[in-house]
Amino acid sequence: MKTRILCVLNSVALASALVLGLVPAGHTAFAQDKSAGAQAPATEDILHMADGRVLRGQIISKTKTEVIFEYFDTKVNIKTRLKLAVENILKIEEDVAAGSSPAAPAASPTATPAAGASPKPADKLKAAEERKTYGAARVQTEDPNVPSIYIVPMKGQMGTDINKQVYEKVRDDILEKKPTVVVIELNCQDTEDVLYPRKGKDEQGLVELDTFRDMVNIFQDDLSQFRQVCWVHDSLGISSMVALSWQELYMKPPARLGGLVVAREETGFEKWQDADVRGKMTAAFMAWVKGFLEGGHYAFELAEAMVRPQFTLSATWKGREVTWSLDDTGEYLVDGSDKKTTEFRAKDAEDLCVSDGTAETIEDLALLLGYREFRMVDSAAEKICADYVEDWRRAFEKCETQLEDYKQFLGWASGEDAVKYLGQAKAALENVLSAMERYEAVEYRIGFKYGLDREWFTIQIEIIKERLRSLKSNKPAGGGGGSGGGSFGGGRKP
Amino acid sequence: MNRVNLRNLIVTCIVLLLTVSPLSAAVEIKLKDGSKWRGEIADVVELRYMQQGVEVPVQGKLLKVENLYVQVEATTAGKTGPKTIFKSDIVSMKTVGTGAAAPAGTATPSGSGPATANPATTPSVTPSSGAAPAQAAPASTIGVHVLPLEGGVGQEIRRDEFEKMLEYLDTNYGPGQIVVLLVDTNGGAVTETEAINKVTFEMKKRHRVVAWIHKAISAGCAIAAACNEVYFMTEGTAGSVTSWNPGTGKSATGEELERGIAQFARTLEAGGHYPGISAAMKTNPALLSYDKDPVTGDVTWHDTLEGEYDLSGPNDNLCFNSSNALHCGFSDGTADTGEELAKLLNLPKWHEASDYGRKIAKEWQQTWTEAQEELPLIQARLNYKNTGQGDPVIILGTRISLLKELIGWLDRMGPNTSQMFSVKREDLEREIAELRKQVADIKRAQRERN
Repeated sequence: MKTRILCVLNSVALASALVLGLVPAGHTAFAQDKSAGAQAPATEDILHMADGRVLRGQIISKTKTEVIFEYFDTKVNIKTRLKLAVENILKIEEDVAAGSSPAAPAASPTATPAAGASPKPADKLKAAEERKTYGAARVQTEDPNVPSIYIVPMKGQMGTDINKQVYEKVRDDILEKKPTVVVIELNCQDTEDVLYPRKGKDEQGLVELDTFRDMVNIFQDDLSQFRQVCWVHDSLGISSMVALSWQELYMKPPARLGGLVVAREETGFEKWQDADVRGKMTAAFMAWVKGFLEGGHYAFELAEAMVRPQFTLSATWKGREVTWSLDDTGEYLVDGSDKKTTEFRAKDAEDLCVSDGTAETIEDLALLLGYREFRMVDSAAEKICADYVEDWRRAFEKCETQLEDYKQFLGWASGEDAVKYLGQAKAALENVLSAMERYEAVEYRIGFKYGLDREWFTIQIEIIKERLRSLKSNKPAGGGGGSGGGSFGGGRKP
Repeated sequence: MNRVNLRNLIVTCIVLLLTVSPLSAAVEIKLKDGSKWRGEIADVVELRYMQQGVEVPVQGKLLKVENLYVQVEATTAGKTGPKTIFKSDIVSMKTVGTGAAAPAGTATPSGSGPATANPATTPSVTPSSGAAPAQAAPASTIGVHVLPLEGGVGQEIRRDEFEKMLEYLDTNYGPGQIVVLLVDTNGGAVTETEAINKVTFEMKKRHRVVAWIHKAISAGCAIAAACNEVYFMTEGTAGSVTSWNPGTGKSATGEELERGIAQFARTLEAGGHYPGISAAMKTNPALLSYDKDPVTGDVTWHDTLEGEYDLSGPNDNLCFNSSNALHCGFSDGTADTGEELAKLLNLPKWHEASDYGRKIAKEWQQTWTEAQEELPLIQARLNYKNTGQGDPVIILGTRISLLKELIGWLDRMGPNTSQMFSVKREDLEREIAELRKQVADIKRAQRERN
């Protein structure tokens, strides 16, 4: 098991990462270097940044909107060129004697508040605005030398909104755009949606492990040439298992990673009465789940603690590595309850090396990924995913209407109008069947909500055809008569 | 080292050691079919020989004839040099010219061009064409034959495809082939597993049989464990071989359990694995752990938990993932793509010598899927089809046709899988007889009325 390296990056580290320049300089063509070739200049320029940084170096060029600055880090003896927005600079001191103390910036709004003092709402707002510009610089360019980020949205119900069908199309777009890094933006709380009945159980994520494995393999096999990162905005449900199949994992500050108890509840592997059958099912399903973590190089203990409530979880740091124990013997008790499964918040996940870091914005994330500046790929993913979700959900709504129509038309199909309404009932069923064939999500949802599958629709259509033939030949239908139709409902699951 | 590579090595060594004899002398070579070729050193010959199961033609000047091999000056991949061919591999040989005036021969595959493997993730496949051998591969390309095992054992996976594969290899390629079983199954019928493994053991006598595991649960693991080598995909799983009755939800106990453990232990042993894995995969109380020598990597197994690495505790069933399977040696390596597997198999690149295995697996999968869809529909149609006609003879005749259709499906399923369906042939035949009697009675009554 590869152990993940401890990587606690606080905001100070973020700032230093920026100025150290985590990517090789030279991506961008800056203005003429006024200090080119200069050795240890007698004077230096000092920039007081809005985020509290004080940068020493040489101003290369200045415009109304930006300053090109050559920052010199004396600790590591590295020069880095930075493109800084003027609005983020509080004060500029030019040609100051090298090594002199910088003057304090006038009334810096980002000065660290005294311990215990809460920032005023206005300050919070300002801080939040500054936060937006904190991190790597997003640039508008087509320059292939600038690292490019491709966002893949994964949002909604696992198995319907998020499924293989959608991401096959996204894969093709990624292959065409060839980004530097693919960021899978995971935002899925389908378990919570059901726990707090904001939505019905039909919105709960499907526990279709094989389907999700195929979906993950689209990225990890078909797109293995691209660096990939899972950025969890929030994940509560089976989506967390999918998240843990990526080796590089980042989280948003309020994000959660958990809810995997659903894998146990929905598969019911621990509910078998016979001990050996229970053991077999548990081992098989847990190995299946662990297979996802294997891809992300996470410890198997995480799978046990996140899926099975009876396990507690503690962690012990050995140097910069974390060793997990499914009990309370570790140095740090992560989950002391044997009644609930382990769930991580962003901060804990980062401290315990489950995540590689916490990033609020794409700029933060880019910086953590080692990109000082980046460009966003003009991707089709957002549209592909949104369109799919909209299309299948609209198709499902139509299906529901058509199922009602079918019932009504069948009820009216007697006397002189029998042929007319039977024809309309048949057409309604054919439309539903067609939507089920087009969208797996529709097929699943109709199965879940009404307990009907394609076979049922095929049979009902054939029965109506038979009735129509009988009416047209003016002979009563004989024989069995089939299952009739006209009523359905209940769904597959309680 | 595998047999194929060993032979290549021998050939290469011989090529390096031998010098070309310029002398001209009368020679005689006995061919496989008992016929003889007679000629002289320096004759230009055209011969066909078997290489990795593929018949390869070569034309060039005969340089040397020894007890076991001949040497021909041939051009391969633009380079002219001596080509050593074992006499036992020669299929046919004829003289096409004499003396030194003839140009150096050219080794070319028998097809329209050399079969090339795509360097990308898509594996190159040489399509199979009936009983004829697949396109010849270039000398540097050693091919594999993939047989996908996807679905339930005794359903989508059955002995028939194994038997067809073995026959195909024996007929068209000869011994020494590499068969890759692409395993992705949650398991299935024990009886079919045993029948499949019987064919696998036969296959292993002549070929190198490799399991490449995506998912090998229960019966799937029993099939994979019988192979010469086992490789996992990163997400691969294998284990949980407990025998149970899905109808009752009960596992095998007592003598039945012991027999099952012993049977699977023999399979494991035949596949080169520790037989004690069997009990740990069959029943919870069986313990299993191991120690691993940090220097040699040798694994020592324990049917207790005294080893450094636990695999199965008193309440656990054993199911491997790719990392622990690799660590304890159950797996020979982890590969997610054909190229990665080719490296582990010591092949220069991933090349599928034929698509026969994929083709027969796909055909059967389609049949099975169609059956899954059609059988319930036919059974439902018995209730309503042609009832609109109102004529009892037509209605009964339709039912007879539908029942015959069901029997037809059972025949297509074959004896090894038809038992997976609830309908029985005898019952269907009896019902047809009953309906025929009814039709006859109605017709008689009609005649009497008229």
